[in-house]
Amino acid sequence: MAKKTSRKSVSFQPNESEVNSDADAPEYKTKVPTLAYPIIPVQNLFLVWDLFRRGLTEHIAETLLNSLPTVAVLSAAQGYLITLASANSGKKSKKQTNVPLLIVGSVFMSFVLSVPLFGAILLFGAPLASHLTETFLLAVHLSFLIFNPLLVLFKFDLDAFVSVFKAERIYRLIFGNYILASSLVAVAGVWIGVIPIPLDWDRPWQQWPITLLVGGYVGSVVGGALSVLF
Amino acid sequence: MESVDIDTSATNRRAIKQQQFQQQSRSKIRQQKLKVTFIGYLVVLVFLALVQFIGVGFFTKGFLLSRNVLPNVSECTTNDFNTCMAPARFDKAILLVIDALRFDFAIPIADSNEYYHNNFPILHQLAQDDHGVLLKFIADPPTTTLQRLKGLTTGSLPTFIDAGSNFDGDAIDEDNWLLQLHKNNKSIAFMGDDTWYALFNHYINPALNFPYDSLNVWDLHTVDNGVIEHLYPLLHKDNSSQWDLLVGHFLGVDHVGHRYGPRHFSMKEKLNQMNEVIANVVKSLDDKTLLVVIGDHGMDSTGNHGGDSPDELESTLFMYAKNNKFFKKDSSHYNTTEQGKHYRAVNQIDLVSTMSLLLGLPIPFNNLGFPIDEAFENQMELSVASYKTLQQIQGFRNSTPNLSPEINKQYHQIISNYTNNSHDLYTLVDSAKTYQSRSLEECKGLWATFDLKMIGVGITILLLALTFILTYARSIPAVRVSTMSFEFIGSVIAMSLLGLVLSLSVSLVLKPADFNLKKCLALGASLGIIVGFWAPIMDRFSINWLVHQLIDFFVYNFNSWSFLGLVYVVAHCLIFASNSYVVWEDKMVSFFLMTFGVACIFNIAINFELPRSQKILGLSHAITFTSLTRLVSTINLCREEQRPYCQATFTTSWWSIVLLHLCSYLLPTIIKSFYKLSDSYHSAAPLWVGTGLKFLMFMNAVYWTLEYVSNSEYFLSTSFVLSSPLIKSLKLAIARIVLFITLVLANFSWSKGPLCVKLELSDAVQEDSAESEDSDGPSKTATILGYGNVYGSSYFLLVLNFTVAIMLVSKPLGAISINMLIVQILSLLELYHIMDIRRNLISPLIFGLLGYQHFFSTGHQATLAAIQWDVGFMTTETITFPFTHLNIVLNTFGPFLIICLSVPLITLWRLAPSSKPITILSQIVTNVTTLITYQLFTGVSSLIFAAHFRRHLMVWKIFAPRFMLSGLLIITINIFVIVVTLWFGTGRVVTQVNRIFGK
Repeated sequence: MAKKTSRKSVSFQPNESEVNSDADAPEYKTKVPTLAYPIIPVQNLFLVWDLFRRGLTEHIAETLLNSLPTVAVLSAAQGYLITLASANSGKKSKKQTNVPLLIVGSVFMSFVLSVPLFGAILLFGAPLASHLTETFLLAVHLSFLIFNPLLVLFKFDLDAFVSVFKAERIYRLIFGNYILASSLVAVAGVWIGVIPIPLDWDRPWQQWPITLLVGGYVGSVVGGALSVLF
Repeated sequence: MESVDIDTSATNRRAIKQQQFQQQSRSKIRQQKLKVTFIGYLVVLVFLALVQFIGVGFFTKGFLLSRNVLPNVSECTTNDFNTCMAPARFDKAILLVIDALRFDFAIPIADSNEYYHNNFPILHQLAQDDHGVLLKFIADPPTTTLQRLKGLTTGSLPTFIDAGSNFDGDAIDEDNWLLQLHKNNKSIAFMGDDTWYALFNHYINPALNFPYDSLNVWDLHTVDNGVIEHLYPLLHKDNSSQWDLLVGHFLGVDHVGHRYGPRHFSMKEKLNQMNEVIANVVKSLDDKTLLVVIGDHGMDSTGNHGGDSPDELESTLFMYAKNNKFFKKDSSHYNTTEQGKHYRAVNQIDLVSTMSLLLGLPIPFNNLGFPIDEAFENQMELSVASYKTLQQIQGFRNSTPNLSPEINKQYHQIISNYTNNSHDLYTLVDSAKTYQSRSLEECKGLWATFDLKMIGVGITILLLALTFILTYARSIPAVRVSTMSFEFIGSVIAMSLLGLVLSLSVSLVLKPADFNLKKCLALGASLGIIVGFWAPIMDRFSINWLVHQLIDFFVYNFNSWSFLGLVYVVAHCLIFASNSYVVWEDKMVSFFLMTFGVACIFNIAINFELPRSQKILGLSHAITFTSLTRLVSTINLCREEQRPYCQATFTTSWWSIVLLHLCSYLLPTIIKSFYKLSDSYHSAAPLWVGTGLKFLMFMNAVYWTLEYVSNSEYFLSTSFVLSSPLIKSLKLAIARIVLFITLVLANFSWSKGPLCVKLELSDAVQEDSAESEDSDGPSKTATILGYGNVYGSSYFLLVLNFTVAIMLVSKPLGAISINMLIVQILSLLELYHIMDIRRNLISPLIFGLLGYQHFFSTGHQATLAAIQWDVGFMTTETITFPFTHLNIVLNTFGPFLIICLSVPLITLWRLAPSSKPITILSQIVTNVTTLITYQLFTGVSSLIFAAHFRRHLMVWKIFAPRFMLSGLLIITINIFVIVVTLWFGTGRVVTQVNRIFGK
């Protein structure tokens, strides 16, 4: 059950489009869960520091792989914080939620979702003939970064997620929500992360896909901070 | 599908007739009005284009300085101007070029463990006695092999484009010492880098010519092994009578630099190999032969070259003779400490006069260099040599206008000193040297200094044009613009006449030094046109109003699509600020397009208003567009600077030919399915798409199959039935037929107005009995199939005409890329329709980006080297004015032409006949001018940055070619948009449909 709905929850993917258009009640805004207190993913800055400390620029694939347990644990912790924060704000949802299952499920799903994300990154122009390992590991990292908080926040509820896009003032809604803002800016960060690659500075950190990863991680923190300011 | 019911009942025929008559006269008036509006638009756009052309012209005048190549050829004469030295010191010469041999590679460097140091010691060892001399050899920028070889043989300073150079840009037609050898019936043997072959193929002995491909920098050994293989046998006593000059050009050192950089152990292997080669050559050298070993340029710390840093400029010159002695200076001149910083240096062009004098040839007419002191036996001989060189340089100066008379005066002074014998030889040679260096500096100044005034004027005019066209395209509402055309025209004509008169009087009265009459008039006209454009706008609106209009755009009409569009424009303009981004422009453009594709997928996925069927259709179009974009981006041709991060895929192979054949079947099918979506696959469409397109594309495929077969070793080795002359004439015939059909015949028949509609009669379905009561008898309903896309389906046929011509002149993978472009355009049009963003500014921008993407994926880059000259000879065997040039223009700008032609489809696709043709026209003009604006934005940006980086290391390799592409694009797009897209295409389709369906 959980798996079935969760696969649908990635609306960034083309094949997940089967949303029921008959539900067009006006009060979607209420469906988007809000948090009682801000959660800014500052741990991502630590992660970036840790990656470079482990020697990201020398052994990219190895370092990315080795840091995955840390990423998973941190994601789970963040997920727990999100459930706490949302449990405080919403009253009725508390009793339905199986918190451990939700957290473990979302960590697992984040891993699964990295496969379509991998495809999307390739579609955006990642090298096809080489660096496939690095690209896949990038996809896993980004999947944890972007999807995991969303999965926990929406509790695998696709309709609630879709309702974000039906809102009148979508950017106001997104930037009013800590998790949505940090995910969106993280995606933008990855997009902007390609910019330094072509420069002929010959720096080790210009290697694929370090800039994208750093862009994503930094973007998530910036997004969270922006939503607090908003 | 929409349908129109035509009532055919006979009851009130007269009333209908009268009504028809009224309607006819009304529609006649409307047509007249449409025609006038249309002409108004065209004239306005022509004036706008004129301003842009003048701006580009001014910039080009100031930026691309050209040198007049004098066609004169020196000869040995008996009069005063004889520049030959007799008897020649050497009968024969061996010239070995080691590409990118930096000076410090050849001298001993103490305590250095670098792979490039101390591994090529033989030159320095041999230069220790009087039989050999080793010198630092200073190249002139640009340090690229082609320009260097020109300098090393003509003795002149090659500018970026030599005026008077011939069509394929490579072969040298000015006087050089290889030409002189050839003229004196000497035999030149050559092996190595095929740049020599491109430059000098007329002079090289065909039997002793062994060129090797120079562009594959990954291949370290093929060229060198090839040279060695042919070099040693020719050096053998039995063969040495076959040649008088032997040229060997080794590329290994250069390729190691490009591929790995100098700090790689392959550099050591390569230098050791060169050491061995020189040792062997010296061993087999006979007494009357001069051995010259040179590097054409150096390399920087990363192993690349092209700019003017000392590491790139400092190369090596070594001369050796077994029996003759060189006139060497004292050893303090040859100081190898500090990596040879204080070592005696000579200019590369000095080799030209030296070689000519040593071999008893006249000095090439355009030479600017001075003989190298050491090359002559004693001071007496040197002074004779300098005397000859003086005469040659003065001879050149006499035939070149605008040179300083002061230096000419100095010449006469020196000549009189020579004849009087009043000074000692050392003073004479020194004074000759000062004269030569002053003359050289003057020429450098003339040929290599930018004219900042012209550049500034050009950029200003273009910026003014840009502000106006931006206002015209996006700020004033399209409806208002359509009524303003004639106000514009009137004031533009008045103001430009005023400008002309003013500038004429200014030029006659004040006689400005830098602006001759022509420039003054151009400047006056362009400023007049711009003032003329602004006057009606200022008359009707105010600046305040325009500012408000801008604010309104951001407040009310601004959405995510407009935002994305603005991001693209800004980003595309900013890439010119850095050489890296210009180099990687192909990737950036693909990235933008793929982002747009994914945004489309996302947008449709979260769109809840669309019916399910539309949504699925939209998604499939979006996915098609995105995946095709990704696929297209895998076809690329790497430019030199992209290496080693780029693997070129643009090659002709058997599978690309097979794909070409497949496409000739696939593309018509795909187009058919798109037409079926709007139910327009009727009447003209099956003929055009099903028959014509399929047949012509098949002919294209056959052409390229023949081309492939005639170049394939496999088929050449087997006794193939078709002889090569037959294949050649077949190819010519196919190319001519296809181009004639597509460009002439098909366009002519298109101008007669083919429509893709069909009348279908069927029994009226008696659903609304209340309405059908008054008509007695069984009424028939006529349904017009394809009514909903009547403009688009017809107009697209015109796009196909040009597309097939462009496919023919594109190489196989390029043609496949254009196939995909057509599908991309069609799915994009459907997407615009579904997402309803036709009127958003991003729609024409995406078209512009598509043009760039396919420019790159059809095997082009913003470099001169990437121009596919060979397609010029598809329709004619020799250069024939319109045809050769047409082919190259179609090949180079083809994707942009297709895009320009398709832009009106943004408005026309899936548009039912409208009763307001002027509105349609104004929307088309808005889209077209938006495309021009975008082009002008990127163009002006690239011009500004090219001017800003004029002292940049990479200006001639990266910024200048990009500016030339931008300038040519501004010109091509404007002309094509006005003449073909609007005047021929849009005008016809809109009036045609309006005439038939206009109510």
